[in-house]
Amino acid sequence: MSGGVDSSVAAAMLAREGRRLVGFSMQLIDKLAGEAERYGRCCSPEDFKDARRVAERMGFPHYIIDMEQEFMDRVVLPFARDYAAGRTPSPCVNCNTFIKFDSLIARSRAVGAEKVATGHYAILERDPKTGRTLLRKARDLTKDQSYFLFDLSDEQRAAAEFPLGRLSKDEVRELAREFRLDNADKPESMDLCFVAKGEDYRGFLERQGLMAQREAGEIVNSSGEVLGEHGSIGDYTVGQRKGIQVPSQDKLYVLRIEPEQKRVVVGGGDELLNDRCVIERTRWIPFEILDGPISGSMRIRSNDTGSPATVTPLPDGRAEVRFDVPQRAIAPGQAAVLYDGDLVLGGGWIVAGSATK
Amino acid sequence: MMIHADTQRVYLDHNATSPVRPEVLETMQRILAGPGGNPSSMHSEGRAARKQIEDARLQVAGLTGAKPSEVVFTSGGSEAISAAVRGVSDRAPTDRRRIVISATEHSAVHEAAKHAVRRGMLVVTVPCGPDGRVDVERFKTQLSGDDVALAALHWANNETGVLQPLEEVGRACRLAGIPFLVDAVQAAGKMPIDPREVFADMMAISGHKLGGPQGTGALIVREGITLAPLVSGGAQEKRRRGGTEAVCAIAGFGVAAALTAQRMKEEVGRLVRLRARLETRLREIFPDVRFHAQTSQRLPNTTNFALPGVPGETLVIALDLEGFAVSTGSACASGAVEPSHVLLAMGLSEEEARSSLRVSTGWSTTGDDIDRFLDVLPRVVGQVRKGLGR
Repeated sequence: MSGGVDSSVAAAMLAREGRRLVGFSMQLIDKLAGEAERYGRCCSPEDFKDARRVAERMGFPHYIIDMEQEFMDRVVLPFARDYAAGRTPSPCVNCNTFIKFDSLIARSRAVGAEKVATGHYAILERDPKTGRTLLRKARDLTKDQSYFLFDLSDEQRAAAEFPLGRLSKDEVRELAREFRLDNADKPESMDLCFVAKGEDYRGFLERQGLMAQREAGEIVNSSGEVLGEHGSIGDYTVGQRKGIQVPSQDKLYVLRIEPEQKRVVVGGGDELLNDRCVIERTRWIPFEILDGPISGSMRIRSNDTGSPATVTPLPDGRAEVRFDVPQRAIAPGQAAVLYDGDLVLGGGWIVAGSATK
Repeated sequence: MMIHADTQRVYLDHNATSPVRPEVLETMQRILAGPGGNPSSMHSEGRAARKQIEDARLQVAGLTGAKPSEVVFTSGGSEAISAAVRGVSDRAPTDRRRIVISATEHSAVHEAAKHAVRRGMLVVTVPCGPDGRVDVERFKTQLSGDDVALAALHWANNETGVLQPLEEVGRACRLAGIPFLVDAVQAAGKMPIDPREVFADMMAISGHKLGGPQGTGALIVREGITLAPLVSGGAQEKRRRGGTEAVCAIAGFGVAAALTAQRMKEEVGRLVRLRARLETRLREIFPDVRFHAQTSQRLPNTTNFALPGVPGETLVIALDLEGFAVSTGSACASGAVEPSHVLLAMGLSEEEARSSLRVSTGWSTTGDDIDRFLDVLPRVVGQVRKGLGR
């Protein structure tokens, strides 16, 4: 329970059904390093007070649990490492996979609970034929969070509940008012929850002392011609247009980052187009193992609506993705998630240097 | 998972707060229902209220062996400590800039000292040994300069119950002419606490640890010590704390102090026996249990132990859901648990410190409470270990 309206309503719905509940708020990041009174977008004392008020109102116990260490190890450090290696991180997927549906599930079982419910917008349902737990998009597609949940194991999905999956945001706010929750009109939290208001991830990493050492390098075009210099590859992600300090008549984009050479490769918009890539650490949902090519709609970032693609398994949990139509800015480090309509088939992590034409 | 009704709950967290004693409740109800009256008023109601406060002052003095005129009522232990630290550092001669404290002080002392840093003081923290006692020789060494404004040492530790070498430190302070503050919040009511015996110039105690109401406490200030006032505004509490007194709460505090003093001898024996039963059985049930500072001189009511692989925070939650109130020892205002600075100072690893549980008994604890706790604990610990996969 973050103290926001979604997790509050999810908990209140279950309480109204008469389910036995324990509320947990995760302390993920402490007061920002070196500053006494600033907090990230999550985990402020005010947020926890809001969560506690909901639990009191709905009549179940509530606890704040310290998960800072896990969050640092499993989410923040990988996030920092991704930037340093020229990848585009996906911290929200890792937070679901390793924090909410791993650490938190373990702690819930430790106190006698069987499942973990969250305020995610996605639908879980059991496949009667295979017994597996399927993941579907939320009914409100503007709120759908299934992309961030693709990497949960079948066991993790079976232990999860998403009470909001079939509701729209308006219905959720309506319910919050019906339950007389104090935070019914609390504004939406967006972006990286652990970065403070009015700050970007670079400022965050710097204050946490996690910014990789800045090493200058060359900015080159795709034929290797040196166009200029950059201060650090950590300042760039694939597809980025702003901040490329190279005079050019055309709009320049980051095509790829070559961490070994400390090189940033830039080029025109159409050079960003690729029609294949490789994904690793794949996860499949209706089935455990992918044994042949499968087609569907592939999303290569959280705000991507999806494009037709075929995925063919490779050894070692890898797979090749071929898009019917070339895609812009296939960014290493991002999750690629395959859908059949609203059903999530699975996905994997885009491998650096694998995007080709 | 079962959430028990409050009546069936077992409360084993007296070091956090002790439930209000029935006699205290009765006194407070009587006063609240009475005519009221401001203790500073001349009329009959005012005089009655004044008498209630002065009676309480006698009772609190009686618990400590101080003179009634040395008792200054405050809103609690933290305020008493803050009043002492501020009161001394604001009036300290300019060449006395150091405050010497022990590593295992309550956060009230650490924070008050930190605050004094902003007023130009320097805080020296003296470490403790693995037994939880402050290193006396190092403490005395720190007192040897001419620049110490204040020394502070707690009587008993809130997390481990360990008693500190007050007399030695206090004697050294007195010889060096250094004001000596003793935080006796945890010791009060659980053992005799006479400030004279330990050469304390100031001593802080709290009402709610005795079964009095929350929001009461006292600073015992030895005759002849002058402090800067904490709250200006009136002549109350000898100008040390202005403002109309919380008559009803102070009277409740007085009753709690009187009862505690009166029953101390038999109560100490009873609590020691309860703890011996608890610790013996814990050792039998969990051969891998680690008691902290078990061989040190301790308060009669406090047990601090660790079960390897069982995080204290999770165990406290699981036990709460089963109807048992215990603690990890160190709570923080936000509600999330940080590893105990006391256990870390005793040389425990962060992992060990996080696996610790504190059980603290008091006037309302029965043998049945201990037995029920021991009955439930193995199952809950098994559930926690299984859930966390340890």
